[in-house]
Parts: sequence; C-alpha cells; structure tokens
Amino acid sequence: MIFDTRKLISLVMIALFAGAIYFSQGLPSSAAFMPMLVSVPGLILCLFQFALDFKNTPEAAAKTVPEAKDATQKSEFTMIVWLVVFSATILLFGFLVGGPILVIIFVRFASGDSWRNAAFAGLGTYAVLFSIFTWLLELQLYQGYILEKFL
Amino acid sequence: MRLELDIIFGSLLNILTSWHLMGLIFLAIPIGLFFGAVPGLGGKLGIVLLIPFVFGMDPIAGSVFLLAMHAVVHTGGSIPAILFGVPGTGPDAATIVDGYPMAQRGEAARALGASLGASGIGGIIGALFLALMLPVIKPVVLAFSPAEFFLLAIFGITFIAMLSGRSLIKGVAVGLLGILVSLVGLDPHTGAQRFTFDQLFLWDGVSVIVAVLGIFAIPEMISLGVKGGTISEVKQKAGNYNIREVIKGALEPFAHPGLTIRTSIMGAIIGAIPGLGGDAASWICYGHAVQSAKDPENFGKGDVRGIIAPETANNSKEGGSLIPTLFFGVPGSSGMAILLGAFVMLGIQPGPQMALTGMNIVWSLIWALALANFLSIFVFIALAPAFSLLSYVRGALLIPFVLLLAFLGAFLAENAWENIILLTVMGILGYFLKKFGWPRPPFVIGLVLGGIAEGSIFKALAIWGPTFFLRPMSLVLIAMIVLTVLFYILRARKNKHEVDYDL
Repeated sequence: MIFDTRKLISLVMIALFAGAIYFSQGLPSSAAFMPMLVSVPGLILCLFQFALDFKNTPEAAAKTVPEAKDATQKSEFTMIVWLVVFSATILLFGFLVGGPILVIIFVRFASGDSWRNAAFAGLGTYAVLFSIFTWLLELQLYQGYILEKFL
Repeated sequence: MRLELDIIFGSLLNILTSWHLMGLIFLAIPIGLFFGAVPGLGGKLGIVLLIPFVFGMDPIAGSVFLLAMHAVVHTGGSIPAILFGVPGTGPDAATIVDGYPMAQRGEAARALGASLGASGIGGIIGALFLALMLPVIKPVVLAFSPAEFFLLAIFGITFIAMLSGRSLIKGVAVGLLGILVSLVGLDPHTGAQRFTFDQLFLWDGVSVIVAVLGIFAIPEMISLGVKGGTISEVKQKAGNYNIREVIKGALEPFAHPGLTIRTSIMGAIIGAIPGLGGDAASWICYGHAVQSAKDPENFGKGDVRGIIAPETANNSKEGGSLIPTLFFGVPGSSGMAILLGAFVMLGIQPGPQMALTGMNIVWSLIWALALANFLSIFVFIALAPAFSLLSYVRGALLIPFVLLLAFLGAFLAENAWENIILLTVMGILGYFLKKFGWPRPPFVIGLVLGGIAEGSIFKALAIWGPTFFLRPMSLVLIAMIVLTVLFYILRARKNKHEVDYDL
C-alpha cells in the first residue's frame, strides 16, 4: 500500500474539520451553529476524498521515476526549511536587520550567486525597507524579539 | 440621476486633478507590465507584492493603484508570448498561436503593436461594459435578501470550485475551509471566543491578507524554488523591433473594428461569470475570430486577427469580473479574489452596500481601469526596449524579496508578529493544496463570504424561519447550485479520469 503526501493532505483537511467540530462542542449553540453547518459537510467531503485517494492512485504518480521524486521531495523540504528560517529570523531580528541578512544568505547559498551580488541585494533590500516603509510610509516595522529586548 | 452624474464625473475629475492618484496610476502601469512580461509572475503575485505598499493609503488611492496594476498585466503578458512563444500569463497562451509566427517572419513590432492596441481598446470597452451594467446590476443586488446572500455564498463556492479545479469535492471542501477560517474570532452574537485558543491577535479573526498571502503567494515561491532556474526557461533570443512599427501595429484593431468590438464585449461578459477566467475568455474569442473569418486557413500562421481577438478579451474581462467581485463579493477570477482581499484590507467591503454607499469607489475604479488601459499604450512604447529583457529574469533571485514582502504584508495587516507564524503555516498548507490539486480560489471566496453568509443565515432564519429556502429567488439559487453539481457529474462521467497533480 502506498501512503503518500496526497493522502496526507486529505488527512490534514479531515483533522481540521474534525477539530472544528470538536471545539464547537464547547461553544454556545448560536456560536456553534455556523461552524457545525460548515464542518460536518466539510468532514464528509474530505472523508470521501480520502477514500478516493486510496482507490485512485494517479497514473502520473505511479509513473514518476523514483530518483526524480526524491529530488523533488528534497527541493520541497529545502524550500520549506527556507520558509521556516525566514519566519524565525524575522521573528528574532525583525525586518530591518533580519530581512537584508536573509536576502544575502539566500542569494549567496540558495541561488549560488557571488558574495558581491548577495551583498548588493542585501543593501538594496535594506534601502527599500528603510526608505519606503520606515521613512516614506512612516510604518513601525517589527524589530524582532532579540532586538526589542536589547534596544 | 443628477446625483449619479455628480458621482460619475466627480470621480473622474478627482482622479484627473489629483497628482497623487495620477502618479499612482502611472506608477502602477509599468509594475503591471513587468509582472505580466515576466513569465510565471502574473497579476496575482503583483497584487500580493504591492499589498504592503498600500497600507495607510485611503481606500480610493489604494484600490485605484492595485486595480491599475492588475488591469495591464495581460498587456505585458503578450510580450514574451509574441517574442519568445512563452506566455507571460496563462490567458496569453492564445496570443502565441498567431503572435509568435508573426515574430518569426520578422513582424514582431506589428504583432506587439496590435496586441498593445487591442489590449488598450479591450480594457476601455471592459470599463464601459461595467459602467453600462450598473443600472441593471443595482436593482438586482438590492433585491437580494439575507436568504439569497447566504445561498449566493454557497453557489459562489460551488461554482468556482467546479471551474477552478477538476475535483468538485476538493473545491467545495476548500471553500468550506475558507468559511471555517472566517469564523475564527469573537462570535458576533454571543461574544464567545471561537477557535481563538486564547490568542488575542485572533479575536478579530484571521486577516484576509494573511490568508491570501499564505494560500497564494508563499506556495508560488515554494514552487518556484522547487522548480529552480529561470521562471520561463526562455532560451531563444528575441528578434529586433522598432517603435515606429509598434505604433503602426497599434492601429491594427481599427482596421478590424467589428472583431475588436465583438471580442471586447464577449470578454467582458465572460469575465462577469465568476470562475470562468481569462483562459476561457481568450480562447473563446480566438475561436470566434477563426469562425467568423472568411479565410480561417490563415489563422495559426501569423494572422493579426489572431492577436486582436484574445488580447481584447484578456483586458476587457477585467471590467466584467469587477461586477460580481464588487457587488456580490464573489470574485470573477482568482486574481480578483486576491484583489478582493486587498480591497477588504483597505476598508472597502464588497457586497450589496456598494450599490448604496460605495458608488464613488465603483466609479473611481471604472475610470482607473479605463485610464490605465489607455495610458499603458504610451508607457509601453516608452519602455518597450527594456521589456524583451524581462523574460530572462531569474526566478530564484525573486524568491527572497517576495517572501520578505509577504511576511511584511502579513505583519502590517494587524501589526501582530503572530501573523508571521500563521503565514508560514498557511503557506505550507497552501503549497500542498496547490500541489495535489485542491483549488485555492474557493478558499478566498469562503473567507470573504463567510462573515456575510453567517450574518445572512441568522437574519434569514429570524425573518422567515427554516422556510427561507422556499422564497422564489432562493429557489432559483438552489436550482443553480444543483445544476452546477449536475454539470460537474456529467463532465466527470464524460472525462472519466479524475485529476490531478496540477501545479
């Protein structure tokens, strides 16, 4: 039996609707009415889809070369790690400091560009963030957990 | 009527006499052309990227800026379609059929000009269509009661679920998830915390912007990173073209006035049907051009009419698709779904009240649409030499900037750092939804219409009780929902095979 991420996404959807039904139980009836109205059919549809996922294994997936599949999964994993790194860096160092650092690291290591190009991209990012958002639009950008503590 | 005239021309005057608004339109046009001309970017990503920049703008300025940018994306999309045979955006694929052969035989300038002229005229006719439809739409919208608005939300999700993906089950489930997410926050009737998990930032609900950025922008960037390399994989070199020939080509639509007007109107009508989208508009109009021609054998070999038809439709559909988006809160396309989210962020609440209190915004958008399409011709000519280089832009280089702007938009939406985490989670969910063919536009519709649907069903039950389903207009909407499902079943039986590893 093949268990792939296609089925996993159906399971996630099932969990979301089932969770909504579970948490609705603790709400006043009028507050729970709409969530139940939406979650019950949603859960039924996702269960049905889950059953279909087991029944139909798409030909495209079956024909995929294992090496190609591995490479795709590796790239997906890498990109998701990058996403988490972006999120964590911004949370810790904020936009003005974390943003340019992230751009430099990404351009240098993920895109394979030279340090010079990476530094140029980082400086450009800082210039845009500072000049447009902080100076021109006068927006208060998030400073990050660490910088907020020390500044 | 006098009041209406005041609003109509007052809105135009307001734009034309405001350096700020005209400046924003002039700024939006090259940005829109850029997002269209770089294959793989498109208008949706353009709106997403511009969202952080419109924070703090007043609703008219922000919406005019975003719409002007979105309106000219397909004008830019025809550039790589003609020069390289690679569509800038999906709907520009029809332009390749005749545009690319013209470029290959040395008529790139004429083809680009024809596309430019057709896009401009199509966009203006689309705006006119929207303006002419207002007197018809207004009484229809105002005749809708809470019962109909609830059913309209269900119909919108069902219809778009059917059209935006190959699996109705997945589409409806995602739409319901969108409604569910819209219910997060304090319950409007009891004040009870609903799915907030004691998080203060969730008391006002999940921000539409965070959801839209997470479900659309982040997955696109992950896909781009997974794919790697250039966005378009353009390998061939563009042919040279001169501006004089482009200007001559821009007059080509006037040599085929019947076709230009017909396909513009057809595009606007198709745009007004939620979910049909640009691909349908451009291909249907291309098909019409072939069918109505006396010499159909010339199509596919570089006939200028094969450029005029899809390009007029591509731009005119934007005017049409604003009708369901603004007045019913049902986006006409996935691009409009994101635009809808941005409008909500700017404080514009699409729905029936637009017909009562938001006509100045509607007219401002109509004029912005027309002006952007008209002015794009001149901006294009001024910037033409640079555009053919855009197809070589490396996608991987865009990823960090787009991610950063997406995080910035999510944070600024409510000044809450927690939104950065929420965006990451929704982005990962959005990527797998995209990868496994769970259509995402119904999510946005559910999210936007969820609040309206809940308010409407409570009102309908209070006024009519459970029999609200039996009102004549309600029965019409129920019949439309049933027909949508039946159509899907018939289509599925015909095609047999489900689905999908889309990407």
